[in-house]
Amino acid sequence: MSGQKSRIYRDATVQQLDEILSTAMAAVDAADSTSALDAARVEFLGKKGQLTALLKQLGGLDPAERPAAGQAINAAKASVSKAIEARGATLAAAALASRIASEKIDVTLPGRSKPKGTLHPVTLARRRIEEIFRGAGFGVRHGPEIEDDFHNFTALNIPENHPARAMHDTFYFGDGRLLRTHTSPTQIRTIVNEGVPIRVICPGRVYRCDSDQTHTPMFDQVEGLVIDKRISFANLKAVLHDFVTQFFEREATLRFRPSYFPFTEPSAEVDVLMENGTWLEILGCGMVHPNVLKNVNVDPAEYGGYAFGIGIERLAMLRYGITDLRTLFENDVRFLGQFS
Amino acid sequence: MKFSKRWLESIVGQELELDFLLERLTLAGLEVDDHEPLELDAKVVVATVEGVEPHPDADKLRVCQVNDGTDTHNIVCGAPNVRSGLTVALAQIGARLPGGLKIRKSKLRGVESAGMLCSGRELGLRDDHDGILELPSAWTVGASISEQFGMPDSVIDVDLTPNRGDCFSLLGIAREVATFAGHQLDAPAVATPESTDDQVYPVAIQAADGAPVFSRTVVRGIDPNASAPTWMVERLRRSGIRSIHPVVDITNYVMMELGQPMHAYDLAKLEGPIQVRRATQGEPLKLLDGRDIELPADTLVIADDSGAIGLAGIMGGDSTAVTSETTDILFEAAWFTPATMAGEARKFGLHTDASMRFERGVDPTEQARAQYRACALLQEIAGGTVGETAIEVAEEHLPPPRTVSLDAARLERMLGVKVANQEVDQIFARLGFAAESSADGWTVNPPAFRFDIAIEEDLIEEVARVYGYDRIPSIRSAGDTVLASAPEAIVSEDWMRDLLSARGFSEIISYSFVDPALHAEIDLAPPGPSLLNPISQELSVMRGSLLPGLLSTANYNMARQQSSVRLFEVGHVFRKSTEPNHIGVFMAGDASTEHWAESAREIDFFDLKAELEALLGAIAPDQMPVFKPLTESLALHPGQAAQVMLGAQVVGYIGMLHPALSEARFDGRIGGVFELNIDLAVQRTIPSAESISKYPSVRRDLAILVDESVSADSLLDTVRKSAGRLLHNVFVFDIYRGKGVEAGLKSVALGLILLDSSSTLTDEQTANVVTKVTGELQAVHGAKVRE
Repeated sequence: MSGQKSRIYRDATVQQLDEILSTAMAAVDAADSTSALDAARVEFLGKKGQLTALLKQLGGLDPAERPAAGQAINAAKASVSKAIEARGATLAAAALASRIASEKIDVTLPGRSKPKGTLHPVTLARRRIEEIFRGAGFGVRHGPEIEDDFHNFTALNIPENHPARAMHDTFYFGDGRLLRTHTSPTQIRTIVNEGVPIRVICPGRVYRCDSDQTHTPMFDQVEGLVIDKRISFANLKAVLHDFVTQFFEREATLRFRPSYFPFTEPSAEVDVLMENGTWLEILGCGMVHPNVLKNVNVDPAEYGGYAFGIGIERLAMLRYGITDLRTLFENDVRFLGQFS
Repeated sequence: MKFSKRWLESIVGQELELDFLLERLTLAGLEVDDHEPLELDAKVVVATVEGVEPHPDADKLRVCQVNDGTDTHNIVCGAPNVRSGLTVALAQIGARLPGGLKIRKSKLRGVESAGMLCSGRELGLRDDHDGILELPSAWTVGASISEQFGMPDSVIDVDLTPNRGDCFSLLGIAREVATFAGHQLDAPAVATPESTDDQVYPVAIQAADGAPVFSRTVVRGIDPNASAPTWMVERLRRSGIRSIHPVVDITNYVMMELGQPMHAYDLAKLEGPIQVRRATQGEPLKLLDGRDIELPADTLVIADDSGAIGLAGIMGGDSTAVTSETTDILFEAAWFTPATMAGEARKFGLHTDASMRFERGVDPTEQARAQYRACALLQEIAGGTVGETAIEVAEEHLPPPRTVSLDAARLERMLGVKVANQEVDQIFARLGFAAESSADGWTVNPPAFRFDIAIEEDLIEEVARVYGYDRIPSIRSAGDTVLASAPEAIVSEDWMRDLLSARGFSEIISYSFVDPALHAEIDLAPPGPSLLNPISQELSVMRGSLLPGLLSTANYNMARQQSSVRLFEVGHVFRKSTEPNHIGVFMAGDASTEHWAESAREIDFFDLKAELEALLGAIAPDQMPVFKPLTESLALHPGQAAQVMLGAQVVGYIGMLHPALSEARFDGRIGGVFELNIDLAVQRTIPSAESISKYPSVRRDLAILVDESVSADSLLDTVRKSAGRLLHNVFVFDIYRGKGVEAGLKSVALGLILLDSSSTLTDEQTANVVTKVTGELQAVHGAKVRE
């Protein structure tokens, strides 16, 4: 009896299993979303799912038949599970593809841009100059722009009424002070503060009472000063040659022309040979005048040195192809925008 | 100084190839500023006017028969001075004139003209255009005008350095040319004129210290109708000196040739002996240029019994000037010391050829020579009887003879090259320096005309100059360099420039002097000192703030179609006695670059403040800036401005432009600015690392209702003070006004981040902090916690 009953149960279970399996497979195939697929998973494989329910009925079977039935149910579960997984993958791929399609943009449109900032060409040139000289062991020193007569002139061997003062077109304040006409007063201050030997450059803003196409009443200079025990004009030639070569990044041909500055002797103006074959004056230099050394209590019998002065605007113009000096101080952002 | 190349050649005694000459001058240290070729077309020739008839159809034109030595041509001429017998310059058909005009056969009111009679201006020879040029009748008809006027020639302009007063003459330039050609110049001899009159004009030198040499010569009976010869007028013209009167021309000519300034008096107008003396305070003098001046005491003057008749070495007086009626003259050639002359001319707003030379130093031994030269020229041109040249010399006031020694070892050390002793000997010889050589060097007596040779370095320079700077090698100096770098705690200006340019700001450089009227409207800082001699009123006061420059620049750019400006400047501002270094930032216009995905918006205070915070966060990261509302400024919006403080120190300001200032100076646009004194702000501490907490942080948000007047800063401050050590950060994340919030109040949402470095926070700890904070907010600010 039990055998008969068991058979009936088994047949019923097998039939049920086939039905459930085909329903489940149909449901999985029909699932068109992850939620529908989840519903199918719960329906057939969940705790209260149909296949789970079948497993629970195994207890009613003849113990001899249980393993085969159990195997069949588990195999069905596995194939449903596999189908769900496959369907899930298909759905995920479709969802991803659809998301990607919906998120497509025109990558040629511009990004959210920040305004473009720039450094002034005079700053660019000054930095290059400073960098080159720093690399050669020069310190960088700054000083006040309103100076007194002593530091701007007298200490530099330009006594009152010296004709060289006429070369300077000085701005005065009427109280003995003036706008420095060169950064040499900073060199004087540096020697006084730090003593010798010394190896510095002094960049800064300087002023001359002159304004036309090729002169602005304010401009920028870098002056250099080296004082030590054995410094020669030959050393000066070498340092300036190296500097100009570094600055323009091409081997420089320089011409040293005798000239006159009250604070150096011998003095020279230096021309650089341009690519078009002409000479262009770019700086002034010379051996520090003994009177200057004496004025700052340095013994010219023991120490000597060289000094040079470079106009930053001139170098910036040459370096960056600027043809009109005055544009440097107009600060038109369309001009400045080129120096990013 | 400008001069004719051919004049120079006449003194050097040989022709000089132009490029070679220019290079030689350059290498001598006489910088060539400019050179200009002078030549006239060969088709401009000397011609005579043989007949003049009225033009049949024009009142002002004449038809002239002009002979050019080959043919007689019909020339139509409108010049008022054309007349029969006149020797003229004829531009023949095909001639090209200096202005570019090409002469063609033409008809003037129906009459053919086969050329043009030229005015001095048309030939580039004279400035006037009163009529055609009248030429000496002795000139050969048909000769080239170019040749007659001493062309071709070149005008060379050299820029002389103040030390080389000796080169302010053709003689001086010639000396240099010769030296660089390898020899000493043989100076042209000047013959002593025959004195046909032994009269000497009396002088009384009362200020020999200022005028150690004073010479004079009387010349009587010159022809008042004489005129200066073409060659002289031309040479002077090429030196930029206009022909005025033959006597004056001669003094100028001698000055240009020999470097000795001279003066000529109308002898008939002198009253009593010449005196060289100091002026008395307020003494009147009418100068040659027509100006009446009052002399300061001690001005060196030339005077006679009538009073001052000239500013010594600068300019003569009107009362004794030579005129077209003058027949008797007195030539003066003096030596005024450079010390006396220094700055004198400038006191009277003058800068004359004479004063320039005396200031730099004129040869004190050449006064007689100049007199002889002038008298010989005068006799040649206008006749007359030349008196004896008499000279007063005060030896004790002459420059003492100089002996300068040069150490051979020092020469080598300074130049970095050994110049052979023999070559140094030659260099001194070429320069005309008397030099004695010894084993160790040289003892040199420089010539009287070289005022710039006083110390050993002067000789080193001369040797180097003549030896050739180009022959000195380039030698890199050996030796130790000091390793040095800027302190890490100081944030460099350049670093700030990089930060701001990376954030989209353009660096500007504006003038340090600004318009005082603009500065007065910017009351954030007083202007600095005013210039005594500004370029213009608009550039006359030193800036006390960077805002005037930034504002003007912003306005300049906005007026040129810029939809936004973002500018910064780093530079000194000027106080009474200090000049702190400032950084200023200015923004106006669109908050961001126009973009397809963003809506446009104009900048506001918080865009500006973000930039300030970024800058301060970088340069003073360890300091909490305090913003103290600034309500009293004329430049900044009273409701949108603050002083920026680090600790107790005001380091700058920030704010939007005051609407009134914007109306007046910025076309009514919205703009914002901040400015920091970076001398005060750049000191920071070197970072010192702390370990990062392993435990999670907890965030608690508080929404509180407070009165409108309560500032965010004060709320945050209270939180920081009351929260205790667990508070890691606090910030405002929302401000709300409107529905649900009573008018006059605002709802402020604060975010508190709590963190313990040694354990995970418990709910109790967190609640305790919130209780403490809310209690304190209530007590201090009357804050109500929103439910």
